[in-house]
Amino acid sequence: MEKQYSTKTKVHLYTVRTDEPESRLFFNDVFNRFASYVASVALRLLGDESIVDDMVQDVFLDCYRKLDTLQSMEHARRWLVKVTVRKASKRLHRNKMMRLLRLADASSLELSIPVVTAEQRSELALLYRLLDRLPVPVRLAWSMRYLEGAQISDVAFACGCSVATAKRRIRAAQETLLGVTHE
Amino acid sequence: MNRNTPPNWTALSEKMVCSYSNDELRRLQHGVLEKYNRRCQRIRVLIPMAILLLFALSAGVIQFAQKVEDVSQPEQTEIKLNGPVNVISPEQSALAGIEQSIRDKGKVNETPTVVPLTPGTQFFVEEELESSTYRIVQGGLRFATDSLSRKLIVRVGSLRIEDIGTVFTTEILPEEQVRVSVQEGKVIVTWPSGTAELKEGADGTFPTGEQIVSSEARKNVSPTTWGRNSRQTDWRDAAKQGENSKALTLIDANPACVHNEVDDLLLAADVMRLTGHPKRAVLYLNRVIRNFSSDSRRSVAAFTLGKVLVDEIGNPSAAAQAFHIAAENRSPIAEEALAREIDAYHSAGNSIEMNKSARLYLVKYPNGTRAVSVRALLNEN
Repeated sequence: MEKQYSTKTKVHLYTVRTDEPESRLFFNDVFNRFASYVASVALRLLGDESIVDDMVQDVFLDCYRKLDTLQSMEHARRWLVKVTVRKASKRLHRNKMMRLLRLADASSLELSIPVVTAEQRSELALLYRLLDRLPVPVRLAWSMRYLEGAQISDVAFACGCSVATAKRRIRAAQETLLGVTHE
Repeated sequence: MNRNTPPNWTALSEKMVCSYSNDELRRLQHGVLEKYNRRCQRIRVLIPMAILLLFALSAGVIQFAQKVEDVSQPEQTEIKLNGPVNVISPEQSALAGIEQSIRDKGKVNETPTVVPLTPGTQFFVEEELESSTYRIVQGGLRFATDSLSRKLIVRVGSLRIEDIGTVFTTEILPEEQVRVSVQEGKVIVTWPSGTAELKEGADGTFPTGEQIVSSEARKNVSPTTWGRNSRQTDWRDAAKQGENSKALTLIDANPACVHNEVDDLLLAADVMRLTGHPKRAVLYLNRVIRNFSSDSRRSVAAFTLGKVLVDEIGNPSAAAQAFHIAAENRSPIAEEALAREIDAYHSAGNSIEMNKSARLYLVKYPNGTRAVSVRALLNEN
């Protein structure tokens, strides 16, 4: 089953100013509602639980600074996903560079979720090893589509590209991954 | 879902879920606000520092610009500071008109730095096409130049010091002697009975010869009154009597005695021409052209300048410009000047300007003395 983004999120229309108490309430609301969601997206994109909390804080720090521009909960959710993808992209690029300069080892999957068995863990480790070989934008588009279960239009919005480009990236990743797994 | 996607990856990813407890959410939110405050504090420190840095950089740039300006205008500041100095600046120099066009082409663009050593230093500057000549009358000067495209010559009486890209000092001593000391590079010193080359760190005392104004004479003659006094014992009389060498000696001893009057300038130009100094003649003639545009003798000066430039200096392009000025007025020599302008352009190989002048000649003087040859020249081209 393909996951769908919830459309039941109640839309709050705020006129937000960061210096008003109401804006702090809005931020609390956004944080409580989407912190776990952002953490899950970050975990799926990066496959590394150890940096998830840090990512969540970075994403919401941006959110706090740009609180004025957020118009509704739905807008905030889409915006948070976009920021998460951007930050994940930066982190993946940095990891690649570190590996290239031999300043870091190949990334290993850091999962401590009890529902994942040893077998599932090794499958996920294989998946993220394969994903590490892909170009970062291609990896992120594919991850958003098949790991996060987003629709193509949402993938395009989150990755900051056109729908056609998003489709092309997903297809490219798909071919590479299937090619490797069939070998 | 795409049929090609291994289904277990998507299914597995659904298990990769993070959920925070209320305590964890509070801790994380607190962390976000702390990070935000830290960032604000950093900005509060960084902005004043950036402003300070910007001020420091601006001050540095302004100071540097002032230094560059000082270097580019050394003569003006330094000469102003040192009292009775009589300078014929490049702007006033007789060659300025023609020289300007050469300057524009980048051939002449460097001036030496000259520092008078004592407050009473007196000297004169003569700018010529390829050189600057400094005649020191009293005191001493320090020169610094790295120009190789333009000669720097220093004269004290009959002593001649030629600079070859250097820093050196020239100082008049008692008993008609001159001390030359070289700080960098080298200079060639020439006096009536010999020549010497002074290298870096060298120092020498040389005779000035007889032409220098003695210290006794200088005591009696102030720079401002030289012109009037010298007029009585005059170079003009010598020149009019055909004693051009004597006139030249008197002019050399006191260049200010040639007044900025058409008569004086034309006579001085004749003296220079007849004593074999065509470049100095050019200086005087061009001063007439520049400073006396409404004088009827301007065209004569321009015609003479053209002749000197083409016959003695070998610069037909500049000569053509001079002849052009001579041909502008309705003077008796206008026709001949225009014809010579055509010849000068022909010699310079400037066929476009030559054709233009030739057509003008035929329009103005269809039956002129040179009309036949000008037509032939036009037909050739």
